[in-house]
Amino acid sequence: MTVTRRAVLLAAVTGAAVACSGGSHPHVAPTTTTTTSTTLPGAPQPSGDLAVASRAAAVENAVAAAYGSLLGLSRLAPLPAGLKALWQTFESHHRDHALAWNAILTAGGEPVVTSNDPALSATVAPGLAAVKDIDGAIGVIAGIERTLAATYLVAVEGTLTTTGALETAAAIQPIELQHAAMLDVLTGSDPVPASFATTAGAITLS
Amino acid sequence: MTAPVVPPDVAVAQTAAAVENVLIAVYGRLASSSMSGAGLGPFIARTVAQHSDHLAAFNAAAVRLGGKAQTGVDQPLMTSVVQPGLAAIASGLDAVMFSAELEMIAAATYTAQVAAVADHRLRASLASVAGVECQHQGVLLAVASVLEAGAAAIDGFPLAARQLAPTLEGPPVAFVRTDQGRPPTEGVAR
Repeated sequence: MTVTRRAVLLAAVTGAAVACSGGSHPHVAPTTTTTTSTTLPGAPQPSGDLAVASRAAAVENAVAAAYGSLLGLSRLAPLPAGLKALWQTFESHHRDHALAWNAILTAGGEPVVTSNDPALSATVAPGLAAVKDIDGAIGVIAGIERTLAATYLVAVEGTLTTTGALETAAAIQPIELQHAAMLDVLTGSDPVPASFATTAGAITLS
Repeated sequence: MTAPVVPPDVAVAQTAAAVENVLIAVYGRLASSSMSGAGLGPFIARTVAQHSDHLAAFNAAAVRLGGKAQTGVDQPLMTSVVQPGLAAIASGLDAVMFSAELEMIAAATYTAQVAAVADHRLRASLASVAGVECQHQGVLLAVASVLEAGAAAIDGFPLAARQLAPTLEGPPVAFVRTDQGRPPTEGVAR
């Protein structure tokens, strides 16, 4: 598809608002009432920053679902209340991140993405299935958070070109690292292992 | 006589360096006070070393872009936030939460400029360092949760999940609040 100048400007404005909101975006309809993205044979696919936004929304959905799976694992019960609150908060953050990317898609004339990224979900599933205890669960989900942070850092450093998408990725990437640190500090993993964030382990968004 | 105009990217790098000088100075103060008493001495030492690395990176960027290395603090940040904040600290928990607030101010200052700067290397540094400031903040928020739950101090790391307070109040938030960042020109001292 062709990304029009108007769409790019709209995405820029929307993304900036999201980045300053600290929460869900007021102009985004609840995902339960929006159209899911369905790939139709021959349908044009988004390109450029909109393609990144589309994949990022799906990835965020997958991570939110991973937290939901952990919260529902009976073999981890009873979860300490503080850890449960932490996971619930992080799950909601990832849903907010998906909303932010979907706002950019909507502004660009693309359908919102409510499905989970199949590739990330397939990668995460074995890890979740192998979880035996709380420390193991924390380790799995912290690793996913680090992957997302590295992915967004790559996007900021060289992939994204529009202001709204750049601002959105830049506002999310540190939060993913914050999640990882708050989890790592509970397991003995170094929560701040280096002075600078790394791009190691990033997945490709476009 | 008008002051020379500082190019935007230079101002951003110089302000970032001045903010790092603030963080290093504040941790230096807190290391010998209530925060160290909360069991965070080793964390503070490591964090100061990392902020020193950030300072070096931002000063290198400032010089590379035609500016000057900043050896002083961001004075408006010191006056409006740090001095009243330090004066209000009455406990280890207060010190931890104040440090977490400063880490977020730094992260917000850098995040707000990621899309604005023209220099791609500076953009990468801003994003990278913002992430690490949020890691620092994350550790501090976890420690604060344990202190809020009644512990007088932490007994090193790792923290036990069962020690966390049962509810989360205030931070963390879903996005870096860029409206909490400092203006990109305020830290330029020379």
